[in-house]
Amino acid sequence: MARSDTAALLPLKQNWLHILLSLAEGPFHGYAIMQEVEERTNGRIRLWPATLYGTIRRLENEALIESVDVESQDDDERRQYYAITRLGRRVLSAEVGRLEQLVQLARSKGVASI
Amino acid sequence: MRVRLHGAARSVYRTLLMVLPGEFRSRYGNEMVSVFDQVTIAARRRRGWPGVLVTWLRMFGELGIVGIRERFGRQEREPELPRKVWVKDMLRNDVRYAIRALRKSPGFAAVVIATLAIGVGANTAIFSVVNGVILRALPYEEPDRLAALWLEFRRSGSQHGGEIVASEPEYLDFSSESSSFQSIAGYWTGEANLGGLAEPERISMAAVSANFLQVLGVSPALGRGFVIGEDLREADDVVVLGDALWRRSFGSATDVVGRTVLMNGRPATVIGVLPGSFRFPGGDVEILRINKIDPINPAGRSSHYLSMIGRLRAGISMEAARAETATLMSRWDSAFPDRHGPSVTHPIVFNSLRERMVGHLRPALLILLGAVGLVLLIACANVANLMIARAEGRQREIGIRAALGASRGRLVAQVLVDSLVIAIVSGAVGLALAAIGVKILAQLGPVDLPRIHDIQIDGVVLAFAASASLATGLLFGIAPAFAAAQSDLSAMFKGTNQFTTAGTRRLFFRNALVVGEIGLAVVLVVGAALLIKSFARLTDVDPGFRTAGVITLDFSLNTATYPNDEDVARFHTELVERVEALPGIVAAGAVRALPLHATPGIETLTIYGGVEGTVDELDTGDRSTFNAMYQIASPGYFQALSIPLLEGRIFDRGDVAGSVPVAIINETMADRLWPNGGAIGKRLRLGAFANNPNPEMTIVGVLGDVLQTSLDAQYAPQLFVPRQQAAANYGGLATRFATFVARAETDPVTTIRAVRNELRALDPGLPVADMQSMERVVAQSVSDRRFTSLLMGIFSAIALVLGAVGIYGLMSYNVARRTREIGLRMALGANRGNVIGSVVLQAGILTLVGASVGIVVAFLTSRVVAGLLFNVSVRDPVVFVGAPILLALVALLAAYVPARRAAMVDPVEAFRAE
Repeated sequence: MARSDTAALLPLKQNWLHILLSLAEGPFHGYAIMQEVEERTNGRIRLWPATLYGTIRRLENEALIESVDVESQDDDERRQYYAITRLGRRVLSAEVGRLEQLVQLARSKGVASI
Repeated sequence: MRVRLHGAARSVYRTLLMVLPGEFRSRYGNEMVSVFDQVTIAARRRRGWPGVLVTWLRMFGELGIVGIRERFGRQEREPELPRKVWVKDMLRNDVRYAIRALRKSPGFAAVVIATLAIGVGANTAIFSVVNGVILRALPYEEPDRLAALWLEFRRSGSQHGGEIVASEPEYLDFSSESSSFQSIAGYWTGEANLGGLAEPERISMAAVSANFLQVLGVSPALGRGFVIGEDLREADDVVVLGDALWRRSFGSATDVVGRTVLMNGRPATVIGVLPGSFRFPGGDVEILRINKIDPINPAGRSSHYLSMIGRLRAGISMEAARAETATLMSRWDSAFPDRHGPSVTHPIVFNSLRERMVGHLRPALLILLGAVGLVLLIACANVANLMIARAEGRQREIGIRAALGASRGRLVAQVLVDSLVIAIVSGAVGLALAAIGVKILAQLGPVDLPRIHDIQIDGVVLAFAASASLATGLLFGIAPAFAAAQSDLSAMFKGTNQFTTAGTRRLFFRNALVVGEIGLAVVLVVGAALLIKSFARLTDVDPGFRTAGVITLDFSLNTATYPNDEDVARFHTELVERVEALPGIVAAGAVRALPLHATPGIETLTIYGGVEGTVDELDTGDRSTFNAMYQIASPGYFQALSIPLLEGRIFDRGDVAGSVPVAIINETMADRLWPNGGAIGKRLRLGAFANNPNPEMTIVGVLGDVLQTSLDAQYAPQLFVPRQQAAANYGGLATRFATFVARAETDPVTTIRAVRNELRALDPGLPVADMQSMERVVAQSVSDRRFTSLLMGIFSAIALVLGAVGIYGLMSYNVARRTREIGLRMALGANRGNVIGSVVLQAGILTLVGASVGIVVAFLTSRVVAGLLFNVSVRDPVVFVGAPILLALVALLAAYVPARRAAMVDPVEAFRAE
């Protein structure tokens, strides 16, 4: 799929955001993404395999992530690593900016977080 | 097993990936399976197998939902509706709609739910047996570290030549020298007279080493367990009560600890009560008593009576322990070349306790589980066919919904929800059926099925039933769902869609389902027929004795009432005399171990003089050793069981304590030692040759062989010694336990009553056990095979009926669909015979295709039952020809009814109906 316009992808769907956040740390394989998201959200968000790969597929189609080769001896061959693309980082930053603006807006109206 | 379960779930998952679009599947399928594996492993580590089943369920369900969304869902970048609301609404409406539709056609609902409920129920019931017997962990602490140990004879190289339990010195040596085991317990089981109560009882007991409960990791519920020191000869006798015995005979008294009971007439102090959850490894045991072994002066090396259970040291694997033991055996070989005991050719071996207890049941239970799974598949095929037929009836309605704007995704989802609602209702009914089924299975089950009390419907079984129901719903729901997705709107409104492409494809699909059903039914019928034939062959086996009119009972004489061997001998003589005096009695006698009921111990014998045949250990000059089952019998025993005398004589009243020691051997032992004949007059001794104190005995007779352990066993060497000489000459090996046998011309019930009266007259306080006819003894010995073949028979009968229903349903549908065509043909001059013929021919072709597929599959897979067969080839020609013929007959019968209906078609009516 062609390169997408950053703004058109916002707001990011929850699963997209979480996978991009995982990959912002570095390349991961599918199961590691699943674990990372689960740990980071204290088990609130669990990406079951079909949902996980459904989302990975969309993100790849949008060129926000890409599959990469990672050198490692002990992993089994089926494991494919994914990394965030430059476009992906830009979209993630744009989303974070959008969220920040939203939070500032809410704060200015006197809404406090719990 | 678990690994296999995981493998099976993985294949299901891989198959279910089909719901995803092809491009998705080929890009990510392998990775998804890999994640599936990792999630499974993680779930097992965190929450055990129940957690794994729940996780699988979630992953299957999630895959299905994503599949539907990917195929039929909104396109990408479509404005997103609040998803939760959408799904919830959809679900609620669809479920409501599905229930309303089922209510409107109660007949359809009843047939579908009954079919599936039987399938799910039977699967759940069998699975609960598999779960209770094989899957569930043994109720001991860290059960994976427990091993059962025994000794083996290796005839040459690694060839297996029989098993034997340990003697005291072997047990003590191995316990102290093996470093792989933390501790090893020794025990033996038997029966005991329990006195000192209101009513004396004969109960099953185990005599155990002091560390027995520590090895298993079981703590008594009341009091304490045995301690070192209580196992010394001079210590007082102590016992630990089982929970059931404590409740039954001691009224659950909490002050029972410290009380004195009489075990075989000797006082013993109760020191504890076992918890209700305790299960003795392999068999019911009601009381544990200490087994006394003097480590300084143990019993002889040739007296093998101790079963062993060991606990491996933490971190030591079974393999490492085996390697260490092999080294130990060869070290013993070189350190004690002359010692009769464990060696490289006669090693101590072991396996996990679980494997030893239930490993032999695994093949039969897994085959039953597979068979019942096939029944469920057939049920699914039937229901799928009915669902497609129903969906066709509802085409107009679906068409209207489509015209009003329902997307294909919505239509498909609706059909799937429909199926899932049916699956859930059927699952609930099936679970109820399973609860009943489990009770019946526990009754039907083999008498010696271990852990039979642990069979119940628990969380794991519930999870299984739920997954089976959901998988079923998806399985039979997917076909109609795709049929709905391919609906042709314009054809729907015309109402005549049978000649459209979609209609033809559906018909092909329905035919394929019926063909598949018939194929599976043939596979099941072949399997069942093989097992039933094998069971018939087994019950036809000549055990070497006659059962007609024979009754048996067990008793054991107390040392308190019968202190001396003479008292025991007098009791036996009197009993035989009294019973033989009864009207109709032909012969009566006693034996140590009744064939197919008990197994006599194996004793090492020293044979003197030349031996031409094979012996178990090296010849030393004119002496060699040989192992044989050691039997003690009175003269009347052989006559009571009609065991033929081949040579010499049987025992007579002159073979008493003081007379020349004599022995009788069986044909197998004679053939093995003296293949050219001449066994009579040969001399032998009980025990190995070093320091053998036993008197020499002379062989006076050779008896016909008797199957001792089971009907499918080989004959084994046996040695018989007269009861009175056994008591006098080989005291340590004599036993006060006996099975009494009597043959009468009257019916067994009368005989049992009469014999019982004589026993009462002799000793009113003597407890008697296992009073039964010899026919029942034989029947019980094959109860496990009866169980398997009976269940297989039931499953294949269900498969046959379901197959017939499938053919019937399809043919009825075809006839209804072709009413106009049939009317046309009849108007053009076809007679009723032609019409019936054409319908039956169509059914015949489907049956032929199905049966051929089934035969091929059965031919390729029948090897899985090989281990359960006795004297029947896995490719038995009668079975392979008979099974499809039987199925064809049933199928044609099922087709005949709709064919008749077709022949009744009135051409005029047929055209008017359009």
